[in-house]
Amino acid sequence: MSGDGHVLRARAGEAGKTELLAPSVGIFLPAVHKGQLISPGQSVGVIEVLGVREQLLTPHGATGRVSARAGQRSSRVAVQFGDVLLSIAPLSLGDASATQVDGPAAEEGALSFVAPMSGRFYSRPSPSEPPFVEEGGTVSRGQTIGLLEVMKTFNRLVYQGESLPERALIERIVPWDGDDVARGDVILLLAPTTGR
Amino acid sequence: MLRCAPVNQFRRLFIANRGEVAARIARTCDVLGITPVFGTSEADREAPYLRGRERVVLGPARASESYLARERIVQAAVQAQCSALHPGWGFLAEDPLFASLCEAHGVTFIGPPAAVMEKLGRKTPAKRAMAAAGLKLIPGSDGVLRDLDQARRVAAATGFPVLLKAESGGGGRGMRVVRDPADIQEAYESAQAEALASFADERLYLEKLIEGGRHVEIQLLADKYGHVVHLGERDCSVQRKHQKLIEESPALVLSDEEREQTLAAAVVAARAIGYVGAGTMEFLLDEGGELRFMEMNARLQVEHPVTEMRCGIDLVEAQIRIAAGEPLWFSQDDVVLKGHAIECRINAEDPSNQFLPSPGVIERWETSAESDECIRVDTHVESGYEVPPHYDSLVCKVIAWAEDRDAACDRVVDALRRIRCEGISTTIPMHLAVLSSEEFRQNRYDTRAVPGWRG
Repeated sequence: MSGDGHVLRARAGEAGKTELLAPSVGIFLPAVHKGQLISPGQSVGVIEVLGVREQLLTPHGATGRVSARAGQRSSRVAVQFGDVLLSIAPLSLGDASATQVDGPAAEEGALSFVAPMSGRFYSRPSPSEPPFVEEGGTVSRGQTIGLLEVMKTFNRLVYQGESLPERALIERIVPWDGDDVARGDVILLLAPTTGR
Repeated sequence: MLRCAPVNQFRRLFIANRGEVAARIARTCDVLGITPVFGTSEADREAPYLRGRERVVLGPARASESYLARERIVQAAVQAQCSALHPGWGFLAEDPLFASLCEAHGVTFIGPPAAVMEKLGRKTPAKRAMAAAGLKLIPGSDGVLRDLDQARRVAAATGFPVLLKAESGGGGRGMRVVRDPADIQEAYESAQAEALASFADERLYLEKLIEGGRHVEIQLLADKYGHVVHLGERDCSVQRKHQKLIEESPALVLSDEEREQTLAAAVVAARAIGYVGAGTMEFLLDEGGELRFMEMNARLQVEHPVTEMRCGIDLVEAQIRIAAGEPLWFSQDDVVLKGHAIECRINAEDPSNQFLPSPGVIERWETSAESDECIRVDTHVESGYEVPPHYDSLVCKVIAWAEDRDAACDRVVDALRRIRCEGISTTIPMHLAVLSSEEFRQNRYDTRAVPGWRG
């Protein structure tokens, strides 16, 4: 957390509401009150961690009226990571939930290489080296496509699997370098290499 | 062991750690009437060891934003109105900046003073202090190396094979073995690059590579008034990739004379550097029978129960009392080390498949052994617990005590056989193989290979 502000993480709440969550343990100093209108990119207050303050910004898609706020009327609220700071109700009943959706899910029947276990994904052997594979490139059986850190040990992710072709085109590398992935999460979205 | 009055200084103590470590510290807090408050990551927030406990969620699963986030942890400790903080072992336990940050915000850090920790974190000042106090060192460079040319000269004078090590290193990073003079340039440059990337300090030093040998360490306790005692030694030579698997005490590979001499020198050295709290000096016993100082760990260690079983002193209690400013309530003569103790670290790894990590849900967990004076089971898991993939793989420690080594081995084997663990793989089969092997039973092995295990 540093720089111009922290964009809050949002979660879908009850009745189409959006909940904005504390990004850290700390003291929340709210700058909005119940009933106030909220739009994306707006500062809703600051969080203070050992005296260092950081602006908290509403995420993309969070539009509506503040329906509840942590700490009710107090101006300094001790929070922990993940606490609900604000609840935002959509402006009209027809409004869709304002929460963002995490990336497109793998299409039905699409070719994909999934994480064999949960861990942290690394796309390159070390920060100074190029990634193992790139979008638009091809991958063939036995090739290392990334590293998975599980319990402090690094495991090679090797392209293999019965349902996968010998060679395939990499359409998309879904996780970013350093992202946490769960077992079964899509790592590579693939396409057949026919027509070459 | 006689105890003095309850600890008056601390009412609420923040535990900046997780899993078995956090559960261990909380147990002593309960005995002392101190309320523990757990700093936890989102991944651990519903873990069974936190049930019915006070906790503060620091951040997401990722350790850099939770268990390693200094500012968040101190903020949480202040928010929870804790006047002391126990870092456990691992994570920030040996971070001088973290210790200073705690003190600056009115939270007593349970550990040595930041300045002592900083000195011990860099390798060559620590080695100089130990040599001055009369401990033998591993031959090598006097301090850090200036450049590659000096590395060449020192290596030739020391004799190959040599080990290049990072001044601020740890965990095997920035470390290179050089067997052939022709390889030294490449090793020097790559070790330097790795050290720079890992520790922001590219300085290297050089030591003679001692292959094999035994890992022996000494447990020390020091109060703020210059009283230092040792609580005997531990033998931690059953290792795989520098990770300890089994620890025991006493180290029967030492002669009585060598043991007495080194224990006494370690006490002198700890006093000389102004050490405070619980700490461990690590030594390498080479094939010639020389015990040489490697490094000092400025924290409590995973294997501390081995010592507790022999001396009857609760080391976490001693740490808390020392931090509260109490003098040690016993002298060296009061410390009586009895019998033999042995500990097995059980990890969520598959020993039959190259020790592949095995996180996941423990469908069933049973240890029919109740903890008593002879058997102790330190764990944070139970049936239904999910071992998360984010942290290390230790799930349980089993410690046995008996009159002698053979009886202690038999007792720990019996306890391991009673453990029912379903859903994940553990290293229990490896422990059973080691404990029943000739090499281990006759104490003829070294750190290069796990005795009795060919997996």
